[in-house]
Amino acid sequence: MRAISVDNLSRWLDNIAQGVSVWVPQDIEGTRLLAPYHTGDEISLGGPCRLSAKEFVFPKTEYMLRFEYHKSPDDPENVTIDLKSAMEAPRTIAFGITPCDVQGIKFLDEVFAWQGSGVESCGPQGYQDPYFKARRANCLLVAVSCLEPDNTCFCQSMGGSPVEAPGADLLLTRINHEYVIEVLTKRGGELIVETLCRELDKSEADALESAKRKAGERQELLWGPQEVEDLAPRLGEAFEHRDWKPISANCYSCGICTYLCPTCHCFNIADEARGSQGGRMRCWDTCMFPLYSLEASGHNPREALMKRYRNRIEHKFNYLIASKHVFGCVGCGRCVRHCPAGLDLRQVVLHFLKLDLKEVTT
Amino acid sequence: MNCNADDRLYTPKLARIIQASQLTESERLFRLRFPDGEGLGHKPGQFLELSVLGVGEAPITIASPPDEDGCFEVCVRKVGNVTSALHRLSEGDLVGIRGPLGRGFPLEELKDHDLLFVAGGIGIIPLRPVIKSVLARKSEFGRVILFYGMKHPDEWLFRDEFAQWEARGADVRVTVDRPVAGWDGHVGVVTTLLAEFQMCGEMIASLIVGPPVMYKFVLLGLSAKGLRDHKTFLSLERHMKCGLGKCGHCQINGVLVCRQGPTFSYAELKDLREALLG
Repeated sequence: MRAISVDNLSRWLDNIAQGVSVWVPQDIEGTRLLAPYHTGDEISLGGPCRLSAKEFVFPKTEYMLRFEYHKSPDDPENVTIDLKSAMEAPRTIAFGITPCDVQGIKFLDEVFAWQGSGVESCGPQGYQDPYFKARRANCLLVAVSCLEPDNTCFCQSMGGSPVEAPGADLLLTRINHEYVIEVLTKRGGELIVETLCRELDKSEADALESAKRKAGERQELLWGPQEVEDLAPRLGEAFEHRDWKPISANCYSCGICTYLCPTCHCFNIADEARGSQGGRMRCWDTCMFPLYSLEASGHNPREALMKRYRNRIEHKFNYLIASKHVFGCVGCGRCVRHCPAGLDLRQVVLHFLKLDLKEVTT
Repeated sequence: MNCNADDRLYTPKLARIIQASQLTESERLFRLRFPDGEGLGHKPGQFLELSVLGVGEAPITIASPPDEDGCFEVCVRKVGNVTSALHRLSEGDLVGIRGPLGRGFPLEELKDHDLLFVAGGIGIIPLRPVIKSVLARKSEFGRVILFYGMKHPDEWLFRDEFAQWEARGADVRVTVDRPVAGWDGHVGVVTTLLAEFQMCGEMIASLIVGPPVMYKFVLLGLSAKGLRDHKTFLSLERHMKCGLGKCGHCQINGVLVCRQGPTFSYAELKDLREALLG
């Protein structure tokens, strides 16, 4: 195992940024955001950024196609259309993302690059999203352990860890004035610049374990291992419960929870044209907007605020367990930290977990 | 479409409008063909994503039975941006097609069954390919009964085909919701036709397509008559944006309508919350 001094980080970044776009957390006007790294940039590692890392594999807006109408000069009635893919997959390194963001990207793998595990009811064939797959293949993930979780963090309650990042290519953990580097994949190993690192000895590896253990202990568990098993069935039973209405009443339907969420992945597809040419793009959408589920006939199965809010919680903690055997929440706490109405997803889930459901429904 | 990461999944294939005819004030029938002559390869009940490039893409049910000389049809009500733009197109114009998508009606499992079709308004469109396929192979099926309800006789879709369907052995009843001058047929919502419907047993299947409120009352009526939930089929309308089970718009509970549907048996939907009106 190797370690790199904090003072060598920028040299390392300069080195790996050759021909690759490297994004690192930076303090931008008081907000920690992932931004493209340029030599000399000050980086801000440790703890989650305001936005999740899902953008690297699933951008806010992404062109899918470009098209152009052509009229034959000799026969204006004869129109043809050129259509071509606008797929882009730049080589990218997401450097310094949190373990929960890695978990989020692993969740998106289940949705977009599904290869036949889970979702048996979808039939034997699953569609692999070509745009996602291309970006995912060209994006390396360098995670940094969260040694001091925020009081809104609950990754361990969702089966994750603030100090382990399965699915990442490298994991860095700060010990004193160094980052210990754990190589998790072959392509991660290729990022190592030996001359900037030193080998760790056995006793130092123990220090890493101890630092990780302490970090884990700093986060309180919301529920025990048995209660986790109960979450999906409990929420299923609570579907008709009258408390959904008062709980959701403060929601503004602003959609910031879905915007910040590392696992939310709904999108819309829209065309943009100017003259005879244009493109088709997809952009993030949100199930919290009332028009999201509106059908052409005017029927809207989830027009009511309560139904939309309930669907978001049920989807993450109940439906996805049934259809994909995973939770749609990695416990990053962003929706808790940034909800303008102060809605706390943890408290909502706990409410239905603890409630005596036999007592009152509807 | 196979399980691969082909970017053609989202890239429409261009098709040419061979024929466009106005069926009612708001519905237009388009006959389409791919320039390479390849068929669509669909099953009745499946849908496609139709693009008017530059305007957008919308999920549209396929209105024709499989294998009509490489041609296929969509019957589209003018409602939103894409459908309005489509209505402005005419013969020779190009549209984009992705599909067929979703699951069709399980026609092969319904051989030797008596078939009851119940359609409300434009619900006749997804049933038309089933009715035509069944009547083309009438000897493989039992009785074929069609109940069709609409608000006003002017909304009657495929009116000239109804006589052909009767000639081929279908028992057809048509009703309008309220009395209208010049209409001497049955009056009342489509459920009122169920009253005179006498059939029971394991070998009856029903296929129902219409608005949510129609589902509610027709399903009640059919259950009361003892029809089997697993042999009652319907097609759900949802906002199916991508058609590939990714975009999330058509999610009901753990089900993605565009992949697992849009056709379902009532047995599959009965306990699926938010699928049908309560």
